Amino acid sequence: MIEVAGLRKEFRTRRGRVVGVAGVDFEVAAGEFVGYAGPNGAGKSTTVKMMSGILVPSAGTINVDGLVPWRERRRLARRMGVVFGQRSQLWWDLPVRQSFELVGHLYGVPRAELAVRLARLAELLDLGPLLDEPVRALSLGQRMRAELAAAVLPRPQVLFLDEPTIGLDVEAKAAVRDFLRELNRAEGTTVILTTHDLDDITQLCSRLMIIDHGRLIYDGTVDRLRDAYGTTRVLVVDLVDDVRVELEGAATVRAEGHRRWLQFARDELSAAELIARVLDRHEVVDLTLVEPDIEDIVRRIYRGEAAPASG
Amino acid sequence: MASAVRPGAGLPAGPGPRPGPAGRVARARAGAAVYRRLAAATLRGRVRHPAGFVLRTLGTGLVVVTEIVGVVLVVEGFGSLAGWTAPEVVLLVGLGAAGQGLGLLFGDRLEPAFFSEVVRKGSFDQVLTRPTSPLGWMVASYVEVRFLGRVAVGAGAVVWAADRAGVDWTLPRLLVAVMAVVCCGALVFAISVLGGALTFYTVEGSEVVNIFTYGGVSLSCYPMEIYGPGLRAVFLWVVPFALAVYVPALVLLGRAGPPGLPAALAWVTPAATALFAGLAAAGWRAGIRHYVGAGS
Amino acid sequence: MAPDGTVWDTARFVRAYLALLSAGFRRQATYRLALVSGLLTNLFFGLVRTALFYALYRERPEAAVGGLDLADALTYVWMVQAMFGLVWASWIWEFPEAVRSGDFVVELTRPGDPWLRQLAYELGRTFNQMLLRSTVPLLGAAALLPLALPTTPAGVLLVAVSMVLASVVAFEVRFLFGTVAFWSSDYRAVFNIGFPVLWLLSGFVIPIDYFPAALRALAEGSPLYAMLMAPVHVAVGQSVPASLARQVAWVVALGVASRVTLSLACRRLVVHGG
Repeated sequence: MIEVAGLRKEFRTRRGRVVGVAGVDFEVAAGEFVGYAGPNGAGKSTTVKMMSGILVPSAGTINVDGLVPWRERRRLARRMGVVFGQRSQLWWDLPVRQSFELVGHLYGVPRAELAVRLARLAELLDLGPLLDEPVRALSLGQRMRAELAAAVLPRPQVLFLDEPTIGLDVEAKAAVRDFLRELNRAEGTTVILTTHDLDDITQLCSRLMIIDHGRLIYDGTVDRLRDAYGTTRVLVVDLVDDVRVELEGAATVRAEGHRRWLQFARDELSAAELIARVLDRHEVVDLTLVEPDIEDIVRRIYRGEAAPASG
Repeated sequence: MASAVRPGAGLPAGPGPRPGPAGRVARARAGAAVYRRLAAATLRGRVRHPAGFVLRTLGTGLVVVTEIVGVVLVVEGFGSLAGWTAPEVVLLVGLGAAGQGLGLLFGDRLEPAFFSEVVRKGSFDQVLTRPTSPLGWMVASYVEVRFLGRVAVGAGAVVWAADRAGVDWTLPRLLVAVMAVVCCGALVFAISVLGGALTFYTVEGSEVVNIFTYGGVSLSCYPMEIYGPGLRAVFLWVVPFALAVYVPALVLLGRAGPPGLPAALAWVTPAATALFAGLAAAGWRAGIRHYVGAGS
Repeated sequence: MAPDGTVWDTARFVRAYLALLSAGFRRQATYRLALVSGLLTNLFFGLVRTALFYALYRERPEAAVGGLDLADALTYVWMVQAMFGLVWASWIWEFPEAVRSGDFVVELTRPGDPWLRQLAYELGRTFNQMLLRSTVPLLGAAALLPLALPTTPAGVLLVAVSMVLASVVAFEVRFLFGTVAFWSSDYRAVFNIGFPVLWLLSGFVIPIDYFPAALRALAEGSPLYAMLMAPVHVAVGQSVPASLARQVAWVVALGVASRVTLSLACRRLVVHGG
């Protein structure tokens, strides 16, 4: 479905040339749900823009469903759906329903089919009460659900999602993820999801690509990544006394003043157990639990704690 | 994280003003200092992009130029307008434009389109939490320097027109001209404040004030004789633009003026303007009370 | 807009843009209070200008300065009020602002023609304005004042057609100004300088018939003529076929110019990134 070879994008800024994407190769088969992760500024959005045809690469080739995106933008537009997290596709002052109708018209969806499709999407995304509200009156979570519905209304073959869960609360994120999972399963839509939220990846994607500073540093399954890195967490403890902490299953990876960073393996020891052990042995002022994030994993990949090769 | 603000920078140091009458004066002085700094910061921001700033300022001046061109072409084409020659009419235009520029310099951002956004986004709540008058804060934060173009061209038009119309610039006449510009500016500003106050009640409905900020001045561009008694009454008794532009022009030109609008009314102008401004201030306070009382 | 591999579906093509037209119309209809204050504004400025021309013609009743008599001048005044909301539309900043903020890029991910979509949407909004805000002041003035409006159905139709053509030209002029936002985020400064000139040359300050010969020639040769003075001339019955012809010519010329500009802008956007 998607073939990318030697992809490169350089920008000319006041500070000189900035490389957004520095040579990326990958292939995505039809029906795959691929996560495209990386820290901010890593080149995720740039890659998606090139794949959707709104940015011309400096070098390299892209092929999406047999089309060259930037050259055949309008033809590709009929087969793809895009959701940019911060940009809205909907008509701001119109009721949501009207936006959907307009989208239906733009993509040539026959009226009967539109009604059926809309009903189904409204059900899946719980849009019923929102349909007659103007888009500007929706909360971010509600709007994102509406954006997704609009993007998949014309049954695109491929769906590009650029940070769709950014700024959403837990409930909204869950709704979005459930919907995407169902969409990929039931309709076989190829989905490319860019994000820097690790939970998006672990819950949705069978395959993950990590990009940092414009290069692919990981391309493989999520399980492999999780096995390799995602299993440790860190408990940050503020002690009353400045003492060493020695506990089974937890290693002190950092100490500053009265604060200790205790790293432990998720599958060996639960957070609750560790907290209990710490409280048992020491007097604690405060504590927090830190989940591993992409930045953390990227750092560790670079530190050579596992091979950054494709799976 | 090191603080980005140097201690001692910005507001005057030392203990705050005390409560009570003596404290009120000190408070006002402290408030004025705040406004000065705020306005200075706003101005610095504006001037940072000089090209845009220059274009915008020229733009407001250019609008007045086009109005004057229009007036001259029309009145000269007919010879005169209700007994007024073209330069005499341009004098009216100039006084009105200079005054309007002065008023909009401070009041433009209180217009419903912009101010309603400030209120809607909740930024106005922040303004209310500050230890200064919210109006002062709004004005100081949004000084629209580009209207200086309008003031400058208006003043220039007054000078040009006065020369053509043979105005004898005695000191009293000069004072009257300045008073006219200041009072017209005060009226425009006061209407802007009322418009802002109305925004607390209804956003869309408050657009009507534009009829007065722009319409009132447009109307003043022509001698009052041409208008029917209804319009004359409104702009004499309700929003006294006639007193701020037309009557002073009568004084400058040495005209007596029609019955009901004699040149002697110029003595009333400052008082009438102050009265209107007072009403506008009361309206503003009422608007704020409504806003705060109703919760947001 | 031919779908892949199938014959060009004219019906669907037309329906899509009609849907946008209708959406624009309905959107504008939600601004009820703005309509009222717009009408009041029209009324006020119309009254002031009417008083002006009455006063001017009182001095010289038989005058036909610039070829216009009192009835023509009054017609001009109220046609300006009718055209005001169609030319200097309240949504004038939406397009350049969408470009500046980057929201416009979404249009590039859609199939179809972004320019036509914008035209359809804005025309829908314009028709809504025309329905009430243009006709009410004009008809009200016609009832109370000696205007020189046509009385035959054909004449009225021509005026309506001319107003529609003027609205399309106005859209194209606004669009061209809006494309400045592709190159400079401070597009307002350009507008601030350009508007006074447009304002005068298009005849919003005084009828161009009062201009000295050279200036009048400039104004009549410019696309601005098609935006305001053309419908005025059609209304008072002066050089009707020439005015309409000029309007059609500018609709085409500015249409091409604005589409080409958009295409260039998009190419730049797509190569350099938003």
